[in-house]
Amino acid sequence: MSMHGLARLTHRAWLAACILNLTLAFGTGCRKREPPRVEIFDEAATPAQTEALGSLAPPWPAPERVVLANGLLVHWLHEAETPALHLRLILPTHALKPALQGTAALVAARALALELERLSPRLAVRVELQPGLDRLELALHGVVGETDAVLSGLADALSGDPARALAQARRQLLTELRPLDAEALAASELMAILRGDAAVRERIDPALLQTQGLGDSQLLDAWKALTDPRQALLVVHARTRLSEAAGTAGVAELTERWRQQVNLLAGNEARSEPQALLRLRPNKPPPSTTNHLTRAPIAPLRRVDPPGSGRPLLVIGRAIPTATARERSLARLVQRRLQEQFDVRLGIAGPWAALTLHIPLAGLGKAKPAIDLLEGTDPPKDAETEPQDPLTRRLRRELTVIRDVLRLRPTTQDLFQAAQLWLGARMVAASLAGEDWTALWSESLDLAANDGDIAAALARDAQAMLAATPEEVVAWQQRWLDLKTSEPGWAWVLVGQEADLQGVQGFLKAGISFEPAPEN
Amino acid sequence: MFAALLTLLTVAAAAPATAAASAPAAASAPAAAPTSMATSPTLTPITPLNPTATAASGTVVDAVLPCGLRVLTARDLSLPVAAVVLALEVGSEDDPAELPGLVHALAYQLEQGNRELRPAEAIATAQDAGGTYALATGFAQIRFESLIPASRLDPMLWVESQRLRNPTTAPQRWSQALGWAASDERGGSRLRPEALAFVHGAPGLGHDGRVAGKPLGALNEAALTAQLAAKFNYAVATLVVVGPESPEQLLARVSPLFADLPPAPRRAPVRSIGPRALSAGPLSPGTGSAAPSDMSPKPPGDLSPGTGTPAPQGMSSGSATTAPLARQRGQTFVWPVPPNAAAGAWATALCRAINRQKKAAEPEEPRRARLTCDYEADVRRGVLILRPGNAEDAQAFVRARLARFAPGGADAALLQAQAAIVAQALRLAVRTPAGLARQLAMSAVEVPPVGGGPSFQQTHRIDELTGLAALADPAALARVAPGLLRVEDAIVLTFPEAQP
Repeated sequence: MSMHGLARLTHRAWLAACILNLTLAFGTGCRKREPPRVEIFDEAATPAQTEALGSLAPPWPAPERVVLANGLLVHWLHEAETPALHLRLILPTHALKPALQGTAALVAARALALELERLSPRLAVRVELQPGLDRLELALHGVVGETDAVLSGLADALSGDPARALAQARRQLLTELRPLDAEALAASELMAILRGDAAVRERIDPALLQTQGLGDSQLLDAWKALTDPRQALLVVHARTRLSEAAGTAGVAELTERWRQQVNLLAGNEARSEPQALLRLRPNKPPPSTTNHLTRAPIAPLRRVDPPGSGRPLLVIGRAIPTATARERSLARLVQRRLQEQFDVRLGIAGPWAALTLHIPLAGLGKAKPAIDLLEGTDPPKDAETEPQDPLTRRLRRELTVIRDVLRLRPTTQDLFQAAQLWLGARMVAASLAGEDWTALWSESLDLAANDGDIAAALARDAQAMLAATPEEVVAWQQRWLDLKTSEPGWAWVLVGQEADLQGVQGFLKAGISFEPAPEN
Repeated sequence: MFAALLTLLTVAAAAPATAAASAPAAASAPAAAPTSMATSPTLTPITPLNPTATAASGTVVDAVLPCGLRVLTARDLSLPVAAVVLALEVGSEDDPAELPGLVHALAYQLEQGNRELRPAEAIATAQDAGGTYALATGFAQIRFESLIPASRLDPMLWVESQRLRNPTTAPQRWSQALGWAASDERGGSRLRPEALAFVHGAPGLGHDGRVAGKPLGALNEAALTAQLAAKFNYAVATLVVVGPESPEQLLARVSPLFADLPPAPRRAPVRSIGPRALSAGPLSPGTGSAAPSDMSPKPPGDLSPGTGTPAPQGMSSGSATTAPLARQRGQTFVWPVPPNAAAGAWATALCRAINRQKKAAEPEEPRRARLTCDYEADVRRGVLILRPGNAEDAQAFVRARLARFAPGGADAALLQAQAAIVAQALRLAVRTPAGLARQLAMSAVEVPPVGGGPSFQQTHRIDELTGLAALADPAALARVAPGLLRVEDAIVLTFPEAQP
């Protein structure tokens, strides 16, 4: 291209830019803004009020939803005559860069909580920061007369300069967070194995704050990425309807003032994801391991240095598919039953869940020598039955109990009582916490397979849990939890010294052995 | 993040199941065992809602059953949970003089079961289904409070219908109950018992109601049976039920459970503000913990020494009643708060307003003068306490400050603003079934009108019973809590030498 042509092109480009500027300056100012399109969220029918109450689930009507012009997705739960207002800002963390996850994201969320707490002198609000699966949640509890003001306050907090709040949040977390203990180290390592991820992404490590491992710019980046409205979900539980509130100043301010700060390219708002679960969950499910515990390929036992001089801890876990209400409810029921005997935890994230067993290996003490009751003397020592060291004795005993519990067929009454306790406690806890439907909605997000399921997920799961039979539970246990016959997907981590690892590996060398059944 | 959440999951899941039973751990131990279904009714599903039979939203059905039990039922549809509160209008005020702490200990004895209920079955019924359970004891009311899943309502109602029927008096159970009572927290009142008794005109308040001494341990089975029968029966009780069904349906669930009890007149005492001036005089100087000398045993039916006695005419005639009290610093102005929810709500608002009043300019008020307020809330025996400081004429200072709250006064708007804040907090509190049931249990004891008789039934608005309606009306303070703004109606506690 000749210089003349280039000049002419440049001239044209300059002209086009002028026209574009004029359009932006005047054209948009005169354009009438369309109100956001509010939809009733009823792809799947919500359970009838009686049905929901009967199955110990909240009787919420079909909620409304809208994607605001800034890309924020809003789910709005309407309850007539409630005097309270609950807002829950759900900020996903799975899409953040690895360096911004974990501690950095927590500092950013804490800073936002501090900004929101500044509303309290003029508004009757209370702020809570709660962790969720792959997300951080900020709950604001207020009164219904201040809905508009609280939404404006939220816009203030999200559009202001966060530098001061970030520094304050860092200082507060430094004093509050405890160093990582064996539990946290083991759980994060195990989850990293199951998810094919880096353990640091699973940890909230205060050491990063102490050693200035997180710079101010990194915290600011975390803030910007975490508070991107195109990724977030706002759940509201209020007396008004979204269709009534959509035109108010509070919603307008939230839309206008809270803008994404990560990507300044225009035009991406239209591509904001309207599906909540697609925003909140990683795009692909975690790659499950193909390992077993007792047969090839055997999961490698990974060792993590202990944080102090505590006792060694073994954490065994596996990924379990939970795509349907039946699978989810069976997983929960089995966890509740096992919880009566061991420390067993279950985290459900829609189509998959992680189940972990936490077994401390020391603390059994010296084995008590058998006494001949007739003679009152110690029986002669047998070299072959010499007690093993406490570490492996404990492990063997725990594994034996786990095996025995998994082989037991529960009674229908056991299952019903476990289901009643779980479901009842969930509702009672929600009532004591102020009947905040957004908290239950957040729980429902973890149970739903798709957005259409969210409103009915708690009720469906409750119904499936109450309908579970002993045969179903036994079959499920054998398929997923039996130490010898279950499907692959296991992993284990030991937090302890090298000697502990060698002890456990020596015990496992010939395969898992169990204690003999007691003689009658 | 997933890992961090897993660490929290166990705690979060266990929390509701292990929550708020006030009874000691020993009591909840049997609760871990499965509830016996042999004697309890089975779980009942929620009956479908029938719109035609549904009372208007925000109403309470108030009924007196033939056995003398008052039942208050209300609906809450937010979540499938129900609250059940059995409130007994008896408290440590009704302890016999020779048995201080008796009622408090007997409240724990009611957890020990009877022929129908095994020990701690009430606790187990709530907690085995994920619910919470609590026991609250006070000067003039005892409450057994439970919050349960709605599907567990029938078993819980059945437990409450059996609780007062011949409670066990086995010696080992009584000694266990005494142990629980002894380990309970003591009251943290700012007033000494004898001062509280004087303020309310109720000699029964003049002792520590949570003591568990040797006289109680020496009670034999016969005496224990007599005391239980005298203090606890359904004619002095109120059963409050809040659930997802209509108030009428809830009442229909409750009524048959008490149908087999013999008819009895309602006997709940109305705790009026007592005859303060009649007992004016030195209050046991120097013996802070001693019971007043006039605290004599009373017949079981006479639960309230001040009941029905009108205040003397001279009480509002110029200056406050002064009560010399040993070890008293300065002057303390105390008002008894009438035993209803509306008065309690207004006392809270008034106290908040007093603590937020700005000082008047000199010479109207000395520069260093200050006034602090405390409201000691109790369902039936609340007190409002004002402590002036650095004021030469304390009565004039307090009078001037209170006068500013009168209609049209300088601080009338401040009082209204505080009333609005209290109303907002109250509205949020009664939003949940547990909060509403507790607030309804605190509502005034009402005697059925003449001719109402047994099976009397009426409806109220929730706002009326919880005090919300009164808070919305600026003129209601003078109506529901007369005297709170008048120095003349206060009791002034002062050191003996300072007595005029």
